[in-house]
Amino acid sequence: MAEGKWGIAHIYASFNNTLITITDMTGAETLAKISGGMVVKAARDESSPYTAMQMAMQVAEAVKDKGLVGVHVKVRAPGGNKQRSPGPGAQAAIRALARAGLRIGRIEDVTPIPHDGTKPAGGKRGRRV
Amino acid sequence: MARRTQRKSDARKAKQWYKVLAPEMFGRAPVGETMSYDPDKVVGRVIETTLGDLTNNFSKQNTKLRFRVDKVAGDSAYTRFVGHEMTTDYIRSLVKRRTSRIDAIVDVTTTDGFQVRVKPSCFTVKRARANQVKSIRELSKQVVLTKATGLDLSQLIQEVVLGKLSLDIYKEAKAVYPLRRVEVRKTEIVTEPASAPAAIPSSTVPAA
Repeated sequence: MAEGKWGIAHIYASFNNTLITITDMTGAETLAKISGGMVVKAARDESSPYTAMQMAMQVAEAVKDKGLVGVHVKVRAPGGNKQRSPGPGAQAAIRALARAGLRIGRIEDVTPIPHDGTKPAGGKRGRRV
Repeated sequence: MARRTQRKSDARKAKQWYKVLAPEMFGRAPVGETMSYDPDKVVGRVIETTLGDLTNNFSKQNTKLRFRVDKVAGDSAYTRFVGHEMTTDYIRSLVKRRTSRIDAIVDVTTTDGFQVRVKPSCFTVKRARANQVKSIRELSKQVVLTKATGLDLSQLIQEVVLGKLSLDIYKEAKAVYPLRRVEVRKTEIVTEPASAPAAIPSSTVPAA
């Protein structure tokens, strides 16, 4: 593996928010974390790609101070009986981490997929709007 | 509030980085660093790496290995193997329509007393009939059992991770129905022998 200290960026992207937590390689020690609400005022902006970009820039700075040179990325959508595909913030966050000067290692989808679970919300005929 | 932030920054200063080393069977290669202010707290942490990273072999990037720290000496943390898994993307790329995916789950005990759960998957060329599926599953169980009873843990892990075990299953089971691919999807260590050396937390592995 490449020299220097590496970490793991856990990115949770739902349609309502994006959370970025950067930990060490074991995932036991958090080095920096941030959420949409720490960057923007309006709740509807918490999940937007632009917010994710700003968030990623902030965590990247914090984490570079602690001596990381790169991160492996674990992207996650809500999963379970909710969406399986990550929200709008995920891609933007990864891009911004790379732009901020962190090296990106493996990118992996760690969305929790049930082997079988409870019934999703919305009822038999789906959500009628 | 102010006091709490103060205390936090003090703790951070005292924290020290530990180098996590792979188990002996993987040549004690460094797999990453972890941070703690107390070496005892490093014990029990689980680190995940790919076989590709350990062996510098890009074709092996789909195999994830999990190591748990069981001893800390100086600034290096020694680990033992707790299981492996294929990445979900890779397994999903193998699953295709109008073909069968045949999963089996086998519990084996190695010669040195580790109980290991091995989960092989076979992928057929076309959809197989139920009795063929059944016999392929039985065959792959047998192959794993006969193979694993004569090996100790590190030999078994080598066989699994380097694909020799799946090759053996392939050879046996292709007589029943043409196979496209056989992979050992996951292994996990269920129980360790009581005589296992050095300080491991007595509570065994949470099956992940």
